[in-house]
Amino acid sequence: MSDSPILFVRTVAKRFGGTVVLEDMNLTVERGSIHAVVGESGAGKSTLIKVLAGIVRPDRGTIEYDGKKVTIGSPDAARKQGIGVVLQQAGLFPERPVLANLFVNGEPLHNGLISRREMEARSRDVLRQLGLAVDVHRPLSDLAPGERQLIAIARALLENPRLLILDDPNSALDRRQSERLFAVLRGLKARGMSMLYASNRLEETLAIADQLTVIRNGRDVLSKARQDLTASEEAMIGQLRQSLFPLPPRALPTLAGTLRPQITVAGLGGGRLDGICFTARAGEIVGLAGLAGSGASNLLAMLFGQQKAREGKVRFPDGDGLPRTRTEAARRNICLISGERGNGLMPDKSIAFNLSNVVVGARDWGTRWYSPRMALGRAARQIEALRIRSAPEMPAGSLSAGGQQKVIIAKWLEIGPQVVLLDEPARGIDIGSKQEIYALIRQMAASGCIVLLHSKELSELTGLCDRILAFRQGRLVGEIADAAMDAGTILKLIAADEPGSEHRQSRRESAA
Amino acid sequence: MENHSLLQRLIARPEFGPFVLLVVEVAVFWGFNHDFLSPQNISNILAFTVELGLIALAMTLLMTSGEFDLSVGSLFGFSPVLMWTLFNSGITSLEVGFLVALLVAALIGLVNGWFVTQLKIPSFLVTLGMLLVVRGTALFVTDGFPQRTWSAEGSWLANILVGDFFIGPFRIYMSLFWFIAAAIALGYVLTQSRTGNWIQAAGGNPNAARARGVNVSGVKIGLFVLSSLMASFAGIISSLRTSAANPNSGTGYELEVIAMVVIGGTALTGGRGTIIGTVLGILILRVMRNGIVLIGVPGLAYNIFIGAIILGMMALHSWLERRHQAGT
Repeated sequence: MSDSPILFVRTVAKRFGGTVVLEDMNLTVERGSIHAVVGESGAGKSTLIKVLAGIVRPDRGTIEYDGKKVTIGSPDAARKQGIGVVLQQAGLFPERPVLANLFVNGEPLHNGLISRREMEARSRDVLRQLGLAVDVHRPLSDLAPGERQLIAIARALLENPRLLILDDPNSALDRRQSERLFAVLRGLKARGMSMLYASNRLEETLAIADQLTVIRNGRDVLSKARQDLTASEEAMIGQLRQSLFPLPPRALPTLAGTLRPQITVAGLGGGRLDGICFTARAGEIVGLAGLAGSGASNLLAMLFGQQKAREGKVRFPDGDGLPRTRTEAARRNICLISGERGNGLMPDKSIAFNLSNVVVGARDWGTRWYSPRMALGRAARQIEALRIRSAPEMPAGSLSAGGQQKVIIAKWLEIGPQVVLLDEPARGIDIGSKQEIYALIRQMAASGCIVLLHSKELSELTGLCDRILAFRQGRLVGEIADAAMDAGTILKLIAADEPGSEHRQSRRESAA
Repeated sequence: MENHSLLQRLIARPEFGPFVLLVVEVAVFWGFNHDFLSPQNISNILAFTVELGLIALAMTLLMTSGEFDLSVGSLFGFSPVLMWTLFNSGITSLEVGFLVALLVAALIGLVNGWFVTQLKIPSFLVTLGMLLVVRGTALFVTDGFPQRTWSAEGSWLANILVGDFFIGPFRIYMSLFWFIAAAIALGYVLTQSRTGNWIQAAGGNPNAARARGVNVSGVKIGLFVLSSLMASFAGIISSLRTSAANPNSGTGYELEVIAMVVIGGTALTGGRGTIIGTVLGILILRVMRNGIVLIGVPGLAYNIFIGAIILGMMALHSWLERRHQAGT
């Protein structure tokens, strides 16, 4: 094996229409190392990776792979070169069995027919390494999002690539799966595989990367070995490291609770949930901690009228009773913002249209009809307020993941919500957008909203919430506030000892 | 949930619903009129079943890839007209006419596929246009009159395609074997071959398939050609069997074929298809048509039952789907 780098990217540029996505991108990946690419969303990471995967053709620039100048004209060409790619949108086939997903367009043949036995044999090792214990004959849609992500990674690994490219691979993974993945990646590195790793989660990136390239606005602005990184450079890497939770915890106004609008939940049950009682008042952010299957997200869905409750009473600021439909919820100033990607977004429609669809559909909007001019005006305001980097006429799907999530938040802000239900609102988006979204959540609470926040990232809960309700297996098992709010305490409360239950629940969620 | 019994797994299969329906249907018709299962009637059902069935088999693959083809009914009428016109005017022999008809059909499929994949026009519009063009051509060429077909008797082509013989009391046409062969071959292609994997990938998530290097356009064009070829082949078989080449034959077949395919459990939106289900769907509709007449319901009422079956099956499929998603 020679010591020359396996991949050179030189002055690569790409524009889509009038938008310059990559301006002048340079990158060198050493053999047998993990090279991380970090940058805010919209900086060009995903486009760079699609160029290397043969999905996007660059306008300019050269790519040198394994000492030769190459043109990667198609995904097949990339594969022939030994480049394995896991894209951000994993590109799986939910209706097909897991096994078929692992071998799309790489099916082993036996006498001209696909050999299931060989597929099983070949995939067994890789799946075990990744810690995936799933029935490979089940449809992929039965798996939890994290497991699906790992299937996409397994699919790339099965081709024994020499260069493995991962675009934000652990956005859907929980901590344990993430650690497992990192162990596997380190193992592959030890066996000489080179990796290019794009991520939004800086901490984890620093933990695994040997080299680091920071990109901004389609240019590489810094490229260094991990250990040569100085403190000031780490600081420069971005406003990235800047504290995620900018505002200090606020002292709650000590008004009598009864005077302020509040939600009272008494004995709520349904689905996995049983006997949930709590109160949340205006101006506070109440965290809902819980693993997959704890029922915390079901509770939010119930309060939003998405799932039916079996029993119990709920009192909203505007009266008794759960909303029966989502439209009713929107009319009663209740909103649910979920981090599930693509949730409620119409990617082909303009940002302005997306921003106005709830308010037009569910609420009085000032005029009787949908007015594009009015929508544009209002959209322009939200775009500025939330710093969405685009114009109102652009399709919402052209935004980065963080930008799309901001559009979803903004569309609910349009109705002037009183109750804000958040289900992992910042999942899988970049640090910059995360920070802005956190600030927005704080603002919503400060302006008198009742905010319920469910997240699997405990730091998110401890950083944002005034108090935290812990859920385990459909029950409320504790409440923590103030000084007691640290990740360890929460984890002790929510950690379930029945592994089976988690699996079952996550499957149900993924199917919904 | 994890330890299914064999029976449970059988019930969970998408083909189970259509299978039960077929059994119930046969039982009901037999209950009303025992002649329903007489050898003569079974032979009757089979003879015509295979002709629509051939089209439905190809349509299953096409629909699994996320497209469908409305022009099959008009090709069913046009191809025999073309073949007989060539033959009757003395330009070619019957065999060459047959090949020319297939070739033209393939070309039509190619055009369909090209419009759909390259110009990105929905297959509904493309094949609707093609339906009118092809049917119109058939009518124009023949002035609307059926073609003479009396000279097919004894030609070797007619013998391979629709030669008939008796197995016991059953009168079997050769076309049944063509149908069985096609069902097995396409069943294997769909479930056991790389091509089948690509078809299902292209229908399930075309962008992901493209990102994996699957030639989605190529797959779809190929399937359009296949569907046209099968429709043409079926039309010629039908015309040889009935000794008639009517430019109007096959009208409305496209929808009946699509109904057969969806009743069998193939998704109209693509990504999921089953040949076994289609075979069941074909039998369900053909048995229905035959049985209704046999038990004395006016044949004109046939469509009422077909419509009811489609609605009922779709309701069942969606109910099963939702039950599955509820995680039971």
